[in-house]
Amino acid sequence: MQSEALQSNDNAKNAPVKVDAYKFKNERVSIMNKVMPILLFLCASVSIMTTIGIVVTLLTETYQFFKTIPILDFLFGTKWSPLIPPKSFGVLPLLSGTLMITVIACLVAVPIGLASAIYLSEYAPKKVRKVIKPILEVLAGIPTIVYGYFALSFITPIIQSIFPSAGIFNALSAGIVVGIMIIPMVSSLSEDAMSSVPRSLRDGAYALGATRFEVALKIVVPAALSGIVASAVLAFSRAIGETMIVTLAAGSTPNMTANPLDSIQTMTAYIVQVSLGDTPHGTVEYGSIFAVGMTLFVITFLLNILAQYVARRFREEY
Amino acid sequence: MEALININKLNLFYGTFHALKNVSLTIPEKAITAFIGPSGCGKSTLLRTLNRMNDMIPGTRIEGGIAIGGTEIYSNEVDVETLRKKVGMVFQQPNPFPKSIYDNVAYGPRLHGVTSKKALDEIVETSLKSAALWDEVKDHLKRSAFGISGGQQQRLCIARALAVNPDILLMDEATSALDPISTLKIEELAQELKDKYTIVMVTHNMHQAARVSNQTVFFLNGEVIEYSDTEKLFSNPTDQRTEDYISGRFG
Amino acid sequence: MNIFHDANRKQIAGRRRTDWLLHILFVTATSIGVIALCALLIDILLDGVTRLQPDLFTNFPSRKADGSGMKSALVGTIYMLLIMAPVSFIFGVGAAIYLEEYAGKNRFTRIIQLNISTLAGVPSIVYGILGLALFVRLLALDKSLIAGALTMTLLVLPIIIVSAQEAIRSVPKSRRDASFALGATKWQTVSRSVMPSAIPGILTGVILAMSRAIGETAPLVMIGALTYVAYLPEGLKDSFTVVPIQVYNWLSKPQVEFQELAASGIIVLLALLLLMNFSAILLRNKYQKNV
Repeated sequence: MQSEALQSNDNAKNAPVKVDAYKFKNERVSIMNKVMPILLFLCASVSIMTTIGIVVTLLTETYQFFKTIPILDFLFGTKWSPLIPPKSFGVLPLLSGTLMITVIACLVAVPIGLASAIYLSEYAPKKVRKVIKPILEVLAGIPTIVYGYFALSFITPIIQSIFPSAGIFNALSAGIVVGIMIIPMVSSLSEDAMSSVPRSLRDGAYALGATRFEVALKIVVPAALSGIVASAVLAFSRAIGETMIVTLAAGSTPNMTANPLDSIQTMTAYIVQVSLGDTPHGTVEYGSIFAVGMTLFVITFLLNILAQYVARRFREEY
Repeated sequence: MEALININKLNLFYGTFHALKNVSLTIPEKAITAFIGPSGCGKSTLLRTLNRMNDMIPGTRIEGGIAIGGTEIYSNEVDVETLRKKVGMVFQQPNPFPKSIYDNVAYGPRLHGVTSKKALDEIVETSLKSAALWDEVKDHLKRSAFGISGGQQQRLCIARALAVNPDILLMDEATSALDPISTLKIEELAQELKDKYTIVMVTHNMHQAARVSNQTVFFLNGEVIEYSDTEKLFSNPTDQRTEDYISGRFG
Repeated sequence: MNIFHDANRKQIAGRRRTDWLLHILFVTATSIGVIALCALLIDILLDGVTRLQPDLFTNFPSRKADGSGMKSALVGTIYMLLIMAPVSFIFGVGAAIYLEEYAGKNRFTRIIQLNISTLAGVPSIVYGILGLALFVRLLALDKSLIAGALTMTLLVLPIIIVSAQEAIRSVPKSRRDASFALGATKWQTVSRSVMPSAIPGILTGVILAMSRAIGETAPLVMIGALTYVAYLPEGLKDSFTVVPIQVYNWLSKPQVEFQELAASGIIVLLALLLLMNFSAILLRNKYQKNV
């Protein structure tokens, strides 16, 4: 563009001075200016297409599946036996397995994550915070397969030594490790919410003679509550979608049990189990992946929307 | 007027920065003392040593002494929580808690162990009356404190400070975020309150110091340049720098 | 006259004790995360260090644990990265530029933005289902390297878009104004003035997204990345495996030897992640100094 611009100046010099000797249009530049926005827009639309792809895929295959298995049998059936006859496709055992893992994980992650967030935001000296925060970030970046190994080789033996009745595969071990995995999520999102509580509110409370825990628990936590609740909801959703830890450590027995020491199967672990085997396209078992996937997608989608709603709707104005 | 606060050769450092230099000062009881001076002169820093709010800033170091009613406030026999109960503070920006008007005022008494509903009701009412806010809010005490105007919020913060029954009230540029009418209301309120409380205010506005205070202290670069009766300081300053400042030559 | 005389020192002592106890509780809770991380790392190091030998890198997996390696998995992971990085960079950064510089503040933009944050929360296995239906079956790419790489690209795109948007947003408006004032067009301003300032931040985000991708297992299990590959993929449509899947394969065998192999595979995976994160941190630090 530069050389062209220079050239047009030269032309202007050589030619007799006329007002229209100056060119205010540069064809090549304006083509880029017109084409690039379209290309960039196409890039941005990939994300929309991904969503449409997910929804369409799940819907069509799930629709096929529900032609064979009535939707009510799927949603309210209490027996999940897709591979061994008599075949039965009631999703409740998988849902209850998922729920058990998620509840255990949240029982671990929410109190620990919240307490860490309070410590980091209200108590920890700057230097300590600078060390602890990256460590927690590392915890968040560890692949789930590694956590799965940790569950099998470290947590499960501990559980077995405390509760001899526990099997190699049990919900408790997987749930605890999923909980450890989502601690950083709860703590960093909650801490963000607490740090955005203005300094002046803390000063106001300290000036009335409050101690640190009173400022933290009676002023900061209530003021940051929406962010804290949103972080817990997101963590819950993350735990529901977690796959490898539960595949490795929780077992593969669809089981409506309330005993965390039993082996169970989650929705995600079932999907992995079927896809590992050579299930031919078009069979009911193949379709069941999509029906379970659809259930998983809908639940996590609704939870994520809920988290965003909570974070926005109840945001305090300071 | 008896001296309530005695500041004796006070030096304060933020890390290596020498923020207050050898400050000695007495502040009289049941009167309004104003701290004036250009930005960064140390007037707010000194104010925040009086209720030890500087304790929370890492790297702060203090030499010298501050005695309130004869008790050294940096000594072991004073609990910082009690000190702050006795020395209330109002900040530059109104900072009500995200709670109801009632809960804002009741927050302090609850901290310090008042639990009975009846006692709290009484404290809330008298505090709001003292802060000249009662008539405006008495019908909606349960509403959020964010629903009232900025000037009302600042009076709510004064009521909140009064609710723990302090002897001293620190006002850190308490009107600088307010409109002129709200400012006037707070100034009038300060005049009423000085019969019962010792008030120390930091102000950016010399005219405000001249209007409301009994004593004025002029700070520059962390030092006290001059302090005396407000009337004398503004009409007949002894230091050239004071005169330059109040006549608007800098600051 | 001690004005602090009426104070209830007992009540304050009690409150301070509560504060102290809670302080201990909060510290303990925080250290649980740290302890868990240490336990995890030590556990894996102890289990895996004996099998961390050249064989691991030079041999293909075999039925016997001794001499078994993960050459094909390592190469598969690297090939997948090489395909993913440019594709996800182009689409992710393109989308970010569009959203930050070109998109009008209208309903459609808001929908895209909301959609991206929602996609970031979709479980990775759902991407696997999409990959299976779209790439493996519909586009008939089969269980190939390209199908795996494209699936993972879709998975990391939301992460890249969000971080690239942040990097672009942090370029001061004055830099754009200066460029426009010299007569630059919109695209010239974006490509020559905004992007050079934003690129280190964008690259940091891309590296972090890649490190997320190389640890992902579930979506690749879905699209059928094979667990036993005794050859190196030579084309885009060849079947392949990656490190986490090799680890998963070893983990699902009962013998102790294979568990040890899995642990040493994890060490390699973690080392790779460490390397990537470290370079991202270096890049970020350099970037922060230059701005």
